[in-house]
Amino acid sequence: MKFELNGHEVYVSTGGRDHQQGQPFLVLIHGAGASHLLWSQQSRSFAYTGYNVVAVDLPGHNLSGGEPLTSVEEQAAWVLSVMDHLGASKATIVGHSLGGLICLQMAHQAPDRIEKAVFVATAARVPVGDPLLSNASDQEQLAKDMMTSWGLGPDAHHFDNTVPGFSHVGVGLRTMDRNPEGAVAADLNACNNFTSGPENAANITCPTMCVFGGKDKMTPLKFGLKLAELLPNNTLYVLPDSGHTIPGERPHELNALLREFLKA
Amino acid sequence: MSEFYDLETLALHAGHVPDKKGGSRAVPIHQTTSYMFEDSRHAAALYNMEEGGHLYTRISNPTVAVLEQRVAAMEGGVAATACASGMAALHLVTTMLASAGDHIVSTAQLYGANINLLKNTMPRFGVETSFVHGRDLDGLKAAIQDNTKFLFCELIGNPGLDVLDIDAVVKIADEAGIPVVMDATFCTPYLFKPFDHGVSVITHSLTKWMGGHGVAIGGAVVDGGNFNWGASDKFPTLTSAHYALDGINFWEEFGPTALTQRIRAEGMYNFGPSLSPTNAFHLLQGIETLPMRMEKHISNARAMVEFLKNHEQVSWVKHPELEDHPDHDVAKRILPNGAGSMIGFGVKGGRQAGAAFIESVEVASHLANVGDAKTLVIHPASTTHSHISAEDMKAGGLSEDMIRLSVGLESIDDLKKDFNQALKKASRVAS
Ligand SMILES: Cc1ncc(COP(=O)(O)O)c(C=O)c1O
Repeated sequence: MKFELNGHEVYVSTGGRDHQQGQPFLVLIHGAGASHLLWSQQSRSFAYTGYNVVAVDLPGHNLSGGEPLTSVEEQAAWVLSVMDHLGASKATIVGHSLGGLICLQMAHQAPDRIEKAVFVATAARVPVGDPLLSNASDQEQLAKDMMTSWGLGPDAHHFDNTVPGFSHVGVGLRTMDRNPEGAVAADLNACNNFTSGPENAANITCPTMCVFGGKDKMTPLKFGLKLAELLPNNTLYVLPDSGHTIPGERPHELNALLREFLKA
Repeated sequence: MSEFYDLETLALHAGHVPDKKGGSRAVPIHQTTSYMFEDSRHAAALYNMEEGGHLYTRISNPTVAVLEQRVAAMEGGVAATACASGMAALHLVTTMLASAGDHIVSTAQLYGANINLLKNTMPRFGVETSFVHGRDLDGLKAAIQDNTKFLFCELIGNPGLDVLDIDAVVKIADEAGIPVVMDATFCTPYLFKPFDHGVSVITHSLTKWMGGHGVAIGGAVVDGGNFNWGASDKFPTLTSAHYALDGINFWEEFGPTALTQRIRAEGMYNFGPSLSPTNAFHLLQGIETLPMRMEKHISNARAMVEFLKNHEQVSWVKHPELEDHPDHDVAKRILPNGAGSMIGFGVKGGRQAGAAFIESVEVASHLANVGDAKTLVIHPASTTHSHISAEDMKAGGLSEDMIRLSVGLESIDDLKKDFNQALKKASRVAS
């Protein structure tokens, strides 16, 4: 679905189905350098089973215009304004990696609009070190290679895939290429500079779920576990063999957990 | 630092992680037509393309998927779709991208059936192709029309062995906003990585070097995921509402894998050019040793070029690594690991002598294939290209006395001895 917001074109995937009055909203927020394409096996699945799916392309990513936003605070405010535009007074929000930080900030900024929150392969603090951070500005291709390499678990590096014929490595790299230059650097800086995650997490009152990968090299499990401890009303799941890209690497498991959590 | 596996490792491992139940280290052959649904929701999810999985073997199969993932990995693509043959691969790409009223530009130096499909079959369905010599860059550029959907080529033309200046060709296509589709059968990812040069779609006859053992026919379309289908309204099959799946827009929904998803949803679904699981298994066995075989194919081919060049019964030798080959410089630049294991040569004494040579070889095999582990010879004028007019043959870089040699992996000494005795017999016919 395309619409205009603050003078820029916005694209959100509805998972191939039009929104229906009265259906609950499910907002899917991608991570650094990615786009709604990360969620292609979640958005359709939930759109076909009674949810108004909103898988966003953040500004300056994939099909959304404008410049990439440079802070988690701005990104959170932007997703809330997308919810306003779509008439979603409340939603369950799901964030992957940077998207998880955006969820933490949304829950802080607008607690009454968050039904439930799901944190996928993320943490309360996601510091980004060099050389990745400096490469993102100076050598974007190298940064994309590093993120794709670290962003996938061992099975994905062996080109195992639940979608016949697909390559996680290829899809990861080319998905990042869909974004205009500068998106990766903006996203990684937003991750690195966001320090209020732990405090926000401790104050979230709605039910939350964490789904982490045991073989995540981007956001190692031990950092995720700290987030899970901070969240007052949380259920934790660890998928032992998954890397960072859980929505692509373990779609069946993630979707089953999401479905249970949404129903509960 | 970023870490991806090298080609040799991918050839052995990519696409398969042993499953925990059986633990089979080899890729299992899933010889089945259909797959149990967990429940009706799961069935609907597969039909709606909500999640990945297998529904029916015409569309996908777990053994075939390993092959697809392996080929996608080795080429560096976003996805691959395996199909019944190399010809099925070109047909899939052509029909997914072009519709009646559309146009294709192709280099003229192609395998005979590729020419036939584009020149004689597709026009009956309203899709016309302009053929231009691969060295005529201005001509290629001029041939592109508003309704041109892609530029098709082979890097090493079959059987003329012309080598295309692919970087220049990609530039022309880029400027026109159309993708380059390359039949990469003759180079394989060991010799050349088309996506690194800006090619957007690869077709393969896996029957040839990839499989290598000459036991199974198969093909694949590899999707580079690097073309912006949404930049213009030229590609409505990918950027406007599909006839099924609630009018899905493949480009918006799937981005870089839009073409592959359309091939799955329409091509495999409605045409059904599926690869059998057992053939996929055989092709996988072959691919495991591709890098080692290619190394030997190349060293044997280089030795045979030397041998033929110095043989008194041979009137001419054509191979891109020879300095007198018109594309020698291009080959040197873009094919540093070797310009393939195909050689063209003429036997002194014309047609009769050529036929005598072919009938006298004892180690080499006289047959239609190329890229087998075994050395193969054929006389194109009377076989593979017999349906092509003399004029088109000449345009394709072919002469009537040409022997096409696909150099195999035998002992080079045995090959030379065999060719020596056969050329001697040919000389008796000639004189
Ligand atoms: C360059 C090239 N492309 C395509 C094909 C067709 O392959 P298949 O026989 O697998 O359909 C061939 C077969 O000879 C070929 O040489």
